[in-house]
Amino acid sequence: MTKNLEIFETELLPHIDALKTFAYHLTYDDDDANDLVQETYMKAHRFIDRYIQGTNAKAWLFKILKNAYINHYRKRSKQPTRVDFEDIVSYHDSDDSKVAGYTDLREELFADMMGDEITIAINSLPIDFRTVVLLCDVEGFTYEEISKIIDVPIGTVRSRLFRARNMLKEKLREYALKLGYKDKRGIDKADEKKSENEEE
Amino acid sequence: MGDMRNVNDIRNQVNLYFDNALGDNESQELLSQVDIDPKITKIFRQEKTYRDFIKKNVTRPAVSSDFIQTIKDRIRY
Repeated sequence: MTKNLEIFETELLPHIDALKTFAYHLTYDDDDANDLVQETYMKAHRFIDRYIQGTNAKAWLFKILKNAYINHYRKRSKQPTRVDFEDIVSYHDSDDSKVAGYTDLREELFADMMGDEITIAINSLPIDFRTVVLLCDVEGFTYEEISKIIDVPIGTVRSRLFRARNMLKEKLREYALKLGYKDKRGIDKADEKKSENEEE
Repeated sequence: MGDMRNVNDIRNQVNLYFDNALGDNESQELLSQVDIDPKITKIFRQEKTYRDFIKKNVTRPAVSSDFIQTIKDRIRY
């Protein structure tokens, strides 16, 4: 086995499951995800001389896949000459201090939820928010790694994560309410006050 | 307002912790506070539950051995 082939099989191929998960949540389609993963590995093999053995293969592969996805998105766009991923999503980025605060999720909310709600909720996020949640919360990449994968400053990564998590938690709360979860915060206090008033 | 800002500061620290973005000293300080401050404990547990739930339940489609072999065959030939 040649050295490059050995590197490919021992350092790059082991990340195929993670790549497939990422690709699936970008494309919503198993076949498209497979195509994207396959294209990623073909490109990785073609440019394997650019990969430094023993370094961050996973981040390198994710960057290749992200770029392959964007290229496919551009081809499918009705106005390909105008498509620029960052232009489309840049309006989401703003100073954290302008956002009201964190969305609170109580632990018991998760008790009755199945895994499907997570996938539906993640896939309903705008692509830039979905990407950072997948890279950070699912795959465990650091801010710096994410910054390099999606070519945005670290501050933008943090800002998007903040907004994406709030959005995701809000969607999960909506699903939980549909499943019959009762958010009793505030209601208990209102009931107490009502009881106090009735006693008077 | 001061109390809300404090809660948001705590949440920010907790998020940084779970994102592995806190230094060792800051992480240790947060963990020590988790043990003694109920407000921090609650926020920490909520975030941990959310993170664990996401990781455990996100759809991870299977990759078949045939698919892997296809990739290997394509790069060899």
